[in-house]
Amino acid sequence: MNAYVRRSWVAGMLIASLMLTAIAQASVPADGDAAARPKVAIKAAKIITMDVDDTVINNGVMLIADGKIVAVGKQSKVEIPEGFDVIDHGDGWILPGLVDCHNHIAGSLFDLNDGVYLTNPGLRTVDVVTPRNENLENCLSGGITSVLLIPGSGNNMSGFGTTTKTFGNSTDEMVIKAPGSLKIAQAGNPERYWYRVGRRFMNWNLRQTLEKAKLYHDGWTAYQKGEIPEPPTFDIVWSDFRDLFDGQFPVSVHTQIYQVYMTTITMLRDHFGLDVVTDHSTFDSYKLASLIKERDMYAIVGPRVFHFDRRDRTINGCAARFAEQGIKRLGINTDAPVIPQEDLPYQATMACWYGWNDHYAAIKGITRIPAESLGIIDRVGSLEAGKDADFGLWTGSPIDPRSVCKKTFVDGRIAYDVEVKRRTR
Amino acid sequence: MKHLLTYFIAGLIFAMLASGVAVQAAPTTDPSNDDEVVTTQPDKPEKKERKKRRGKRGRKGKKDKGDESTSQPTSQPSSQPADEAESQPASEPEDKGPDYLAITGGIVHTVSGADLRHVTILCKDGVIEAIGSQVEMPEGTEVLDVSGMHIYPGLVACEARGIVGREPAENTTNVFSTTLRLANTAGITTVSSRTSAAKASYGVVENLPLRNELFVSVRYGRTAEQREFRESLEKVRQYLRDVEQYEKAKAEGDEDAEKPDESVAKENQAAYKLLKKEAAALVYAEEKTQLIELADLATQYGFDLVIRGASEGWIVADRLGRAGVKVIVSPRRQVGANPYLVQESGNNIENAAILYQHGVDVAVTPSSSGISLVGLGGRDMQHLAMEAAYAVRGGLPEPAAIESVTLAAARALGIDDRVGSIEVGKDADLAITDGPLLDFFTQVQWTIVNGEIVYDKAQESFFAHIRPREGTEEVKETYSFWPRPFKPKAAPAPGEGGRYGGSEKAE
Repeated sequence: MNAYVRRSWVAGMLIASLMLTAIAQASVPADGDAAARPKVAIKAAKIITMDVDDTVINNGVMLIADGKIVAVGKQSKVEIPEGFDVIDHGDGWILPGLVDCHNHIAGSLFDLNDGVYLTNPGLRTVDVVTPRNENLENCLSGGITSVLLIPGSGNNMSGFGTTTKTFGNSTDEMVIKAPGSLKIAQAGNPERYWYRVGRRFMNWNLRQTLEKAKLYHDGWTAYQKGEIPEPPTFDIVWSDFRDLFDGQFPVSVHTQIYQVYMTTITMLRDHFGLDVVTDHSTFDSYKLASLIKERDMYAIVGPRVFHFDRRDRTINGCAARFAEQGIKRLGINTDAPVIPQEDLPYQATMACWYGWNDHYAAIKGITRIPAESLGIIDRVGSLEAGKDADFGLWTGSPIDPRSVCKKTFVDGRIAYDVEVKRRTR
Repeated sequence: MKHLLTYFIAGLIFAMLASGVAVQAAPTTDPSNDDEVVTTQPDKPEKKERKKRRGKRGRKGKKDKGDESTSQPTSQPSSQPADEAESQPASEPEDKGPDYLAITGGIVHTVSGADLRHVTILCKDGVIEAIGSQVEMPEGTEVLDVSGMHIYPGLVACEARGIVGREPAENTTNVFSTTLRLANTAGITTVSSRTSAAKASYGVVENLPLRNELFVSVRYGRTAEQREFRESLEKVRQYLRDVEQYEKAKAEGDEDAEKPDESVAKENQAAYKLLKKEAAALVYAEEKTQLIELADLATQYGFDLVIRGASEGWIVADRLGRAGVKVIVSPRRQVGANPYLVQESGNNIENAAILYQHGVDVAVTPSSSGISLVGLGGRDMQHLAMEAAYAVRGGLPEPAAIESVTLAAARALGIDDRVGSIEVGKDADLAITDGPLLDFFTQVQWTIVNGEIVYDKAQESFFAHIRPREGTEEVKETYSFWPRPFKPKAAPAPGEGGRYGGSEKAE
């Protein structure tokens, strides 16, 4: 192959790739495009705002523009300005986009568990987020708009999760916060890692890993305060932990069963002072509800919904038992794909069926509570002026299996429309 | 494990004892003898025999409460022949007359007709005797007041292989299993494995038999299976035509007429039963092409067809409707669309609704055939009603959704002459709930099988603490686990006893 041919080949490839890029860019609506993010006013019989005061607006209207909520209020009080398209949702409900703080399907399903070591601190899931994958398309039909994509529980510590929207044309557009949490799996699945990995060893392993991370963080903090003259050596393994110890994001802990749950509280919360969100919280974890309550921690329950106590011959709803003991910061998760992501409301239905007798709290447990626990409540999880326009138009309560999400909006755009897409849920 | 074994053995002994009472006339499968074949059909004679059996069961039930150990010592060999057990007049207690149970108050959802209020349902020996506002109650009637509750027919669980054993159910089901108990807590009174239907009532094996040989199981998945099924249908149809011609010729006095080869019927028993309408075909099929082919076969050869699965039924609902097919669907089951197809494929939440609109008889069952004990709830038989509620999300009318787990399910199984609705003459199988069946806060309060209360929520520890029924004391106090009050015990003085020795242990 002579030089000329090679040059022209390279040039051809370059031109082709440029053209492809141009086509790709043309087909993707640009961020902030007026057509893609129209100004809309939505009327509905009920708006569950999920704000701090638990406001529920009957005969309400919500104005959205540029992907943000402009105003929420009664139809009699909020005037619809000119230039707003009006959607009349009739006797339906408007709900904040549902939030799941334990999800594995926002990325490719093949990048869940990197079981190189038992603890793999430093790994990130932000680079595996896969926009518009099939599972995400389905999950929009359940009105879910924000999820925490975390690595699997095959390792003791498996890296940093990413809080992301479920709809968007690129990772940049979707991601809310990265890292969004640190994933720790305390018992159960990591026991399969290698010959006789037990819980005592894993607890020690976590302690020594986190101690190293804390040492690194303390070193840099001291340097920044001017307590030591020389900066510590940069270490990519521990650099993300600085934000963790600064309280920028929580730890998502795969924890369940009394004794494991206790260690989560005493070790991660009390000893390391970390902001712990206990995912799963099933089996007999509810017996430790008073410890959770004392520390104002978040308990997120799922995907198991009940615990069959063989000694008492009772069937105990996990969420119900937590609620019964006064836990207010109580949420629900799916652990998708264990439970399909779009079934998040149905997980809450089951929590109610098994004795969580507070319908409103159950809706809160799939909207505001998970958003609070992940520290993204300033953007999603409730319908208030200034927040992201993420919401679902439902025919009734999302907890009722008979009601349907008819449209899902993410950042002010219609991400799912029942009239357009075949419904799997 | 030890307990399981004990239960299993106990169940086995019960099953053996019961086989003496509930003698099942082994249905003949010999296709060459038409006269005998007729007796297996669910006809009047069968019903008579059934009633007789039920009468015995009622008396047997009374005996069980009293002196079971004396009349039927457990040391007796369990392999005792059935006839011998029947011919023991000494052990039969005095007939105290029929058992009456009256259910008063409550909203009666008959399913087959209008909802009734302010009526009494009177059950006599396990059969609904009367429904009305002025029903005369005979002396000794047990009365259950369910004012404010909703009364539904007992739910019918198709494909409940995790609850009931294979055919015959009475020999293969563990009636003491937790799953069977939980089935009762879900209001389920009839369960079906692949080809047989049975009653579900915890600990009572005599209740089990309902009907066997409901279906001919047909495999229609692989190409070879499809070809085989078609070929056998064609062979049997030809054979039946030959038989008809032969009999016609014989009747006309033609002595030379050649008798058709009977081996055709014997070799193609499944197809023979189908074309003789002795049973319906039960086929597991999901894809639209399979569904169309099966519907066409059913029309062409004239047999009853029940399709389990039918996730893509919504695409070909009109063809299924015209062929008179019955389907058993799982609305929550997800079947991904085939990305290589231009046409529609995969599941659709509207599946049940679209099928229903096209006149297809829709029964609903969860995709799981058992009941979960490990905590993953909502997708199993425990939540049969919630599965039906999911079909409502897809547009199925609520009455049709209720029917899909009661009467339509019974129709799919071919047992709607006995269960599935609240009607005079049908079995007294009821699920009494504290709210509408499809509501997620609703729980079953009482379950009645064959006129006997087999489950009372307040009396069973499983769910008694969840939204306890008014007027019943709570079984347990609110939980308080941690921190437990720590009360150190004083060490016992030497010789005073205690945990390790002394007088306490000696006692």
